[in-house]
Amino acid sequence: MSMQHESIIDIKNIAICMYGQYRTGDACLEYIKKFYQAKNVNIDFFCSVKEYETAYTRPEYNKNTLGITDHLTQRPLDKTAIEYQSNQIKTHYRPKKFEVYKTRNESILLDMKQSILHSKVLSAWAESIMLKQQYEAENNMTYDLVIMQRYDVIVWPSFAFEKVLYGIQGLRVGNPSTIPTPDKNIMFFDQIGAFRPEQIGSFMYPNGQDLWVWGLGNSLDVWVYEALQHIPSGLSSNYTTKQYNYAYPHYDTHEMLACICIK
Amino acid sequence: MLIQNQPHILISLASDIIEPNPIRNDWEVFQRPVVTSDKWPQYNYTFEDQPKPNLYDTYKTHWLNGIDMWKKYGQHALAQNDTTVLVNDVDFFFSPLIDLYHDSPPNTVVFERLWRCSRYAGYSLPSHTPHPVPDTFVTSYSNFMKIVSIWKWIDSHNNTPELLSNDTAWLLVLRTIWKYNLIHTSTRWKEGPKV
Repeated sequence: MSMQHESIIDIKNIAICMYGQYRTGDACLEYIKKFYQAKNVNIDFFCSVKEYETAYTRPEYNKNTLGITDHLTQRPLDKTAIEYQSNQIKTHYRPKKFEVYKTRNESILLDMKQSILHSKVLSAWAESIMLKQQYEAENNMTYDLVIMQRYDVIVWPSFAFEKVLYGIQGLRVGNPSTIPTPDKNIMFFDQIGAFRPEQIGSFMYPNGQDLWVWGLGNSLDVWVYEALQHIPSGLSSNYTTKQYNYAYPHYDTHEMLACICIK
Repeated sequence: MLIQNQPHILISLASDIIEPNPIRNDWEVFQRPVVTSDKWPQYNYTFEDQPKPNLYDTYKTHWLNGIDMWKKYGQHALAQNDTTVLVNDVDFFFSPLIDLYHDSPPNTVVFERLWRCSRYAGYSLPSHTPHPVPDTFVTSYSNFMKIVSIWKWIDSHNNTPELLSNDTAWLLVLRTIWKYNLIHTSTRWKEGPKV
């Protein structure tokens, strides 16, 4: 393919789609706000937050401060806490769209209990990205780059966002020496595990706490459409621990993301 | 063979004709006029010598309908292929497509017009190269949105005109079907124009 037949990555509008539980969001928000400051681009936030917490990512903290030892149990937030978190999000991120993801939406779903660590995460991702799509539809515009992360995740070094953003601006899509894809949709993500004891020593670059997903073009939109086939509905579920041919085996959230991306 | 459980059917119409729709009362219709962008004329196409709305504009209109479906029903009704979307420009007799869809494996897209193209005979026999006129089809909400969001893919990243001017409506859809690994079939598989 010659140069004249290739598209050029030209990012003007960026959507940051925040999802999931707020958890230690207060401690992270100033960093996140500063992290996403970049010149010559427009950056908008879209925020969906859950009305409960499962703090399995901080078991020692839970045990010592809250007395919680079953880290997978959902701890519903009271009205005051939800209002506080909502206000923090609205004040600091000024999202174009915001919603509290309701537990009642999950209670009607088949198999949701068994797949608590995975399907619920997937639901939150879908909800956040679809907030962004609703805004695009209402305002007749599109985002060139969509980034997905949680409120309690920070990524470093602090210039990582700008470094990658400015690094890919102007690249010719399809150039195998830069980005190995013939498509205009590019998606990459980092499963960040440096602080989980079982993952120390893995090949992953220690640059944050959990998941950071980038999607160019409409790749994250399509990813959500695909993910919908793996979220239990009120009528049917693909949840299984054994069947691989069509149903989705829910083993690990990150593995689930990778599996969907491959499709 | 897996038989799909389809308890929910929605209809997406992209039509300038806005009037009470005679389609079955129990199938909810999401309808809006075709958006006009004056972009990408290479995606204009005709059927039976009649000009059709530009595919880019048509799909963008259906995508807007899809967003309305999400806003009304959310992921819990739309997940797991539990919602079937019937797609056309105007009112249409969808029953043959629905019957075939229900007898097909999950994730199948059933086009109304899809055929082997003699123009590409070198590829058609071994690979069943399809030649869809992609404005009438039945599939899940998930696959519906994958297909109609092509308009956003087209707009991405300062596309060079040289690339897209060589593109056509059916090549675009064909590429998308392959890219997303969608199963596809047609109620009129053996029919088609001589090209």
